[in-house]
Amino acid sequence: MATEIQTSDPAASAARTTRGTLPVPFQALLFAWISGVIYAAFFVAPPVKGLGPTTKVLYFHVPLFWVGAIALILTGIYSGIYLKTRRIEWDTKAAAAAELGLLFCVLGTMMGSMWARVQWGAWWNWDPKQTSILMLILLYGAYFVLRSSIESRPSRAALGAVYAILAVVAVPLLMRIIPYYLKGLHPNPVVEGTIDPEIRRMLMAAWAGFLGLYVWMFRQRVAVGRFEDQKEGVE
Amino acid sequence: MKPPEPRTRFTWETDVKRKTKDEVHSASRTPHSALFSKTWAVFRREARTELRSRYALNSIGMFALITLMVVGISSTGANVPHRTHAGLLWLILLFSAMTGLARVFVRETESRTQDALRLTADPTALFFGKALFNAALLLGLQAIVAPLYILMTSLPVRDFVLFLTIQIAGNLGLTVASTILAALVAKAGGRNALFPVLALPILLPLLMALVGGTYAALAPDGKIVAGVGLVPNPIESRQTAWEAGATYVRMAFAFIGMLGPASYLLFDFIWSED
Repeated sequence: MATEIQTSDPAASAARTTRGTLPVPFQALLFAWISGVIYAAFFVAPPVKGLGPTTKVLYFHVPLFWVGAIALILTGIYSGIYLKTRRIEWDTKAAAAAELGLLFCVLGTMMGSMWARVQWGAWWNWDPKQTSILMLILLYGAYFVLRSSIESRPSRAALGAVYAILAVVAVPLLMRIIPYYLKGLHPNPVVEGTIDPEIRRMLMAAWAGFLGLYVWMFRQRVAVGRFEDQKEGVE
Repeated sequence: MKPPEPRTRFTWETDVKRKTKDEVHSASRTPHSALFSKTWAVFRREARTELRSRYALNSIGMFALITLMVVGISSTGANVPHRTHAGLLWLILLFSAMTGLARVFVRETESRTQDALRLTADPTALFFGKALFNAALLLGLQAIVAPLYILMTSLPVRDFVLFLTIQIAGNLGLTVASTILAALVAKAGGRNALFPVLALPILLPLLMALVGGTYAALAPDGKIVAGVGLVPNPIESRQTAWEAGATYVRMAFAFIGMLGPASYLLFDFIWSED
């Protein structure tokens, strides 16, 4: 029988409302951290040689993509767990991760495009990294098209999971194996070794901030998804 | 239960049943031959069904010929860069394939035979049989389109071995990706229009490898450009075809090697879905 949302028990429904969101102190910390990152990116961080004042974009563009890529791999992992356990909450998590991953990648691409316009002269250059990110965005767009075309929730979950896993198999191909041959316009891995430790620290701080942002948004989204599942009587 | 009436027309179910009985009693047959014979039975059934209605053959064939004509008309005499030719060839092959490769599974949904299939068929044999059929269909397509394209545009292919290797890699890669996605689309409501939407993003890295490899197999046209797609290394005129094209061949086979096992492993999840 479908579970009904109990509105009569205030304690339980209050618990349900806050379950899944970050505790308030963490949210405050996250807010402060990101504010600090933004401030530091604009006013404190030294410019990278050759990039000049556009260095600021580095602290947003790169972490957005790192977190976006992690989110997309998480989609694959959650999908795999769903196929193994057949518990619908994992499919909710997979969809949430894919949505956020897509959002972060699109934002990162927009920033990258702006940066490319300034640095390399054109909004889009078909540089290998740019191309591979575009493919990634298309993959996840297709994932959502597939999901929206299936009515039955369990089928949507299972078939979406299969597609997500196929896409994740393609992702390391795009992100790792192919750029291995890469000598494009993109600078060599900025973090591995050769750069100013202060910049690396800033980058790590920015990355931590965006990861926190992702975790917070993810938990919110999963909580909403869980409510929707309960309402539909699936859970 | 009454045994089925003897049929005058060949049906693959009875064929498989006959063979299964033989295997049980024959000590010389290994289990693997069972898989081969079942796979072959599935392939033959697909071929017969297709030859009966010729739906996929017609749609693929007409699409390919029409696009070939358009490309041929628009490129005669024009100084089309060779890289563009490589891209156009694979465009024709890819989109022709998209019109017809989903048919193997979508047909089961449309004609409501998939329940019977689920009851009687070994999923592994089914997967490989249909994949084999897709590969054969593609092979037929490539055998017609590629030579016609070369003739129509007077394409200067400097290394046919590389060209053929790329065509084979393309065949395998397209088959591997499209069979699993056809099954997915068939389960997701059987709408043919969904198939290109799902297939194209996954095929993009393969396509770049194929276009790059084909470009490397063509005579250099004096336009030294940054490499193709995801590989930025320029293809220079002093390189031999294989020197330039090896990276792309590797990429294509990497794609096949990764997606092949993945699609085989994932097929069960799709096939057993309601």
